[in-house]
Amino acid sequence: MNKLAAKYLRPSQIPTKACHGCGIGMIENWLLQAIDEMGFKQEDVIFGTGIGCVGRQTFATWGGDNFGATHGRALAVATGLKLAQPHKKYLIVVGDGDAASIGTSHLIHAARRNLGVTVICEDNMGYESTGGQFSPTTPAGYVTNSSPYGMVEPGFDPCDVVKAAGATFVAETTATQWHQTVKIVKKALANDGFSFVHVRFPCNENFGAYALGTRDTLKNLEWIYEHTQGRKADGSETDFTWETGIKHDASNSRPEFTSLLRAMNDRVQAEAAAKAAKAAAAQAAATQTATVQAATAPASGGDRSRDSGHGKH
Amino acid sequence: MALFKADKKAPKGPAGKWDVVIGEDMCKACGFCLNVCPTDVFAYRTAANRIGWFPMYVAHEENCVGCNLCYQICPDFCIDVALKPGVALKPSVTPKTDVVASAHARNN
Amino acid sequence: MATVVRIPVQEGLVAPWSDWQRRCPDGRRLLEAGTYALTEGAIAAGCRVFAGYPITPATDIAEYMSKRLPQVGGYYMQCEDELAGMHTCAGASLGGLKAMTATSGPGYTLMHDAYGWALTNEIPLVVVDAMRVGPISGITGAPGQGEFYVARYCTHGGNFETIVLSPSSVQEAFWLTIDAFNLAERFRTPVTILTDQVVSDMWEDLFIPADYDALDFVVPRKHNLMMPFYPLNSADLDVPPNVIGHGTGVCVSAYTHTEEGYDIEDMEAQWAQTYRLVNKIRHHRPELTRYEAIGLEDAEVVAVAYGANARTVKTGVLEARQRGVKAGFVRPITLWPFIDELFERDCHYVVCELNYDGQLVREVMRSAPDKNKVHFMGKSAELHTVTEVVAGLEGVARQGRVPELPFIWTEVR
Repeated sequence: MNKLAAKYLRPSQIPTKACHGCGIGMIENWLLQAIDEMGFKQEDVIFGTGIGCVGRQTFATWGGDNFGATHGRALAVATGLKLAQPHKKYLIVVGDGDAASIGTSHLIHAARRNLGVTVICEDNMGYESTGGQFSPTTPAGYVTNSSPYGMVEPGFDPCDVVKAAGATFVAETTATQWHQTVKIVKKALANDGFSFVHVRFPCNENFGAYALGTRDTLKNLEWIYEHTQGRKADGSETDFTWETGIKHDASNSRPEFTSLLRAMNDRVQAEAAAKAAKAAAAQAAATQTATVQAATAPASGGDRSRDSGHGKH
Repeated sequence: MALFKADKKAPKGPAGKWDVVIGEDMCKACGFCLNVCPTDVFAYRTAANRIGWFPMYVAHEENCVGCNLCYQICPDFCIDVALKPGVALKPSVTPKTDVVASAHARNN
Repeated sequence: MATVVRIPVQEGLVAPWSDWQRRCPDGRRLLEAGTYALTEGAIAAGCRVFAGYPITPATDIAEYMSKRLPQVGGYYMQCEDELAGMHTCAGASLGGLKAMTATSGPGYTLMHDAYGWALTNEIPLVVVDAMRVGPISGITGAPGQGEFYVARYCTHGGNFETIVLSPSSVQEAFWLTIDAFNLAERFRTPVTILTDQVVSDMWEDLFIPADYDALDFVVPRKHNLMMPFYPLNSADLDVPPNVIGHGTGVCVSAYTHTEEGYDIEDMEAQWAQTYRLVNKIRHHRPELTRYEAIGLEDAEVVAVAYGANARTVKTGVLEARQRGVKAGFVRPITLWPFIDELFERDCHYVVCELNYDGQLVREVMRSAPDKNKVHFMGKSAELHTVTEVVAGLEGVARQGRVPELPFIWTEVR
C-alpha cells in the first residue's frame, strides 16, 4: 500500500470493503495527504464515521482511535468526545444520508455551536448502501431505486444548511479535484471550529447503474468530471454544474464551543473561590472578636447554594 | 476535455526518473490509473489477484513522467510514485502542476 | 456453559448503601426533592457530564446539573433532543468522563439506538427514567411504571443483558445513584435508574455527606489501554472501560465486533460477543442484587411493589398484619436482572403496579411456583392507598382473590 496508508491506516482493513471504482478510498487518500502535510501523528486525530457506504467503508480503516456511530449520530458522539478530549483533531467522515438526512439536526446544532470538528460529507447522491434509493442530494429528475419515475422531491445542498447554522468553514469539491480537496481539507483542519467539506463522488454499483445507466467506472468518473467543469467532452453543457470551492471562510473568528464551556467553568470556580476566601476572612475576623458563629462550612466540590431560581423556594 | 485520455502522449521531460509501485494484491481493477496516465505506464495482468480482480501492473515504468495523477486517483491506496533514489530533477525544470511539486517535496 | 448463580433471600434491606451512611460521619441534613438527591448522588459518584433534554418530571435534574457541573469542572449539555443527549453522554464517557442523562418515557424511547451503542461497546453510563403515565405524553404530572419491560429491552436486536435499579425514597435515590455509577464502571455498561414523578418531585429528609472526595465506596474511573479492547467469550467483572484519545487504536462501532472493535459477520463472533455482554451480568448477579423483604418466613400473601407506590404498599402490609393477615412484602430494587428467587415461596402474591396493562406481575407469575396464586392490582395516575392495599391483601387471604375496587385493574390476560 502507499506510504501514507502504511503510516496511518489499519493494515487488516485494507483492501477496504468499497466497491471497485468507488470514490471513498480516493477521498480518504487525500485526507491522509492533508493530515500528513499538517504534521499530525496518528494519535492526534480521531476518525468518526456513521452508517452507510461512507461510514462502513471508512470505519476502522484509520489505524488510530476511531468510532462508527449509529446512523446520523456521529456528530452527537463527537460532541461528547470533544468535551472529554478537546485537544484532538476530529475528522467526521459521513455520507449524504448520514449528514444531510437522518443526521441533519445534529449537523445544524454542531455548526451552531461551532464545535471544533471537521466534517467531510462524502456525497454519492443517494442511499447506495441499501441499494440506491434517493437522498436529499439526488439531482432533480434522476431515476433511482425508489424514484423509478424520476426524483420529484426538491433537494438541497448541505453547505447552505451549515452555513446558515453558523459553520465557520464551508467548502465543496468533487472526486476529480484532488489538489483542491487536499488544500481545502488542510484549511478545514486549521480552523478551530466547525468545518464542513462537501465532496461529491461516484458510485458505480448503484447510482451509476440506475441513475446513469452504467457501472463503467470510467464513464461514471467522467460524469463527475463533466458536472464539475459544467461541460461535457464534446463541449456541450451539462444539465447542472456543481459550484465548487471555498464557500465560506470565517476560520477562527468565533470561539470553539468547548472552549466556551471551559471558560465558563473557570469563571464560576474563580467566583466561588473568591467568595469562599471572603467568607473565611470574615470568619477569622469574627472569631477574633470571640463571637461564636454557626457557619455552614463550604463543602468540597464547590458551593452548594440552592438558588437555582426556579421559584420553588 | 475529458478526464481520461485514450491517446497516450510520448514520454518527455523527467521520464524515466520515477519509481512506480503498485500493490497488485490490493488492486480492484477500476482502470483509473491506466486511463488517466498520459504516457502509458500501466497494463492489466492476465491472472487474477487473491481478491478476484485482474490487477494493474507497472508495465512501462520508464514512461512515467511523475505527474502523480495515478497516485491521486487510485481508490485503494495501491500506488506510490517517487523519484528514483539518487536522482534529482534538473533545476531548470519548473514543476508544471502542484502534484509534481508535492511529489518533489515528499522526496526531499 | 451455564453457570446458574442463585441469590439467597433474607429479611430486611439488602443493598450496599445500608452501611454507607455509617461510613460518612460528617454531613448535612436537608429537606430536599428526589431530583436534587439524584443530582448530588451523581456528582458524589464523580459524574462530570450531563447531556440531555428537559422533560417533566426530570427537568429539575437538568437544571441542577447546569448549576453544579461548572462548579466541579464538569459540563452541562442541553442537546437538541434526547437521542443526541444519550449519544453525547456515550461520547463523553468514551472520552474518559463519567456521564449521566435524565429523562422520562418519551425521551427514554428516543434513546434506544444510543443505549444499544453504549451497551454493545461496553461504555459506562447512568440513565434516569422518571416514569409517568402513558402512553406517550399521557398525564405529565402523575407517577407511572410503564417502562418496566422497556428498561430491560431498551434497545433492539437482542443478545444483551441490562441492569435496572429503582429507588423508593429521596435518601435511597442519593445512595442508589452512586451505586448505579459504581455498577456502570464495574460492569462496563449503561445502567437505568427507574424513578417516577413521586420519587423525583417529593420532598423528604436527606442526608448528604460533607466530603465527596473522601467517599471510599465510589468506584473510580480507570481505563483499559491495551488489547483486547473487548474481552469476548469472557464474563469477567471489573474490566476497565476503553477510552478514545489515548492513542490505543481502539475501534468503537454499532456492529458485532472483534476484540479490536471492528466489524465481523461470523456466527462464532456473534456467540463470543453475546457471551460477554450477557454473562458478565448474569454470572455476577450477587454483585448487583438489591431488594427489601419483610415477613417472608410465615407470609401467606406477599405484596410486591417497587418505586414510589412501594411506600404505601409497605404501610398496607404492616396494617394488614395488625389485622391478622399473615402478609409479607417484597420490594425489588434491582429490577433487572430480575430476582426470581424472591418469588419462590409457595404462597399468594399481590403485585401492585402503577400501570393497568400489567408488567411486573408477568415476571412474578413466571417466577412464582403457582401463577394462579399471583394477583394483580394495577392503578394509574395515583399511588395505591393503604386502604386499597389492605383490602387487596385481606381479600386474597380470606377469599383467594382481590375484591372489586374502583379504578383497580385486576385482569392480566
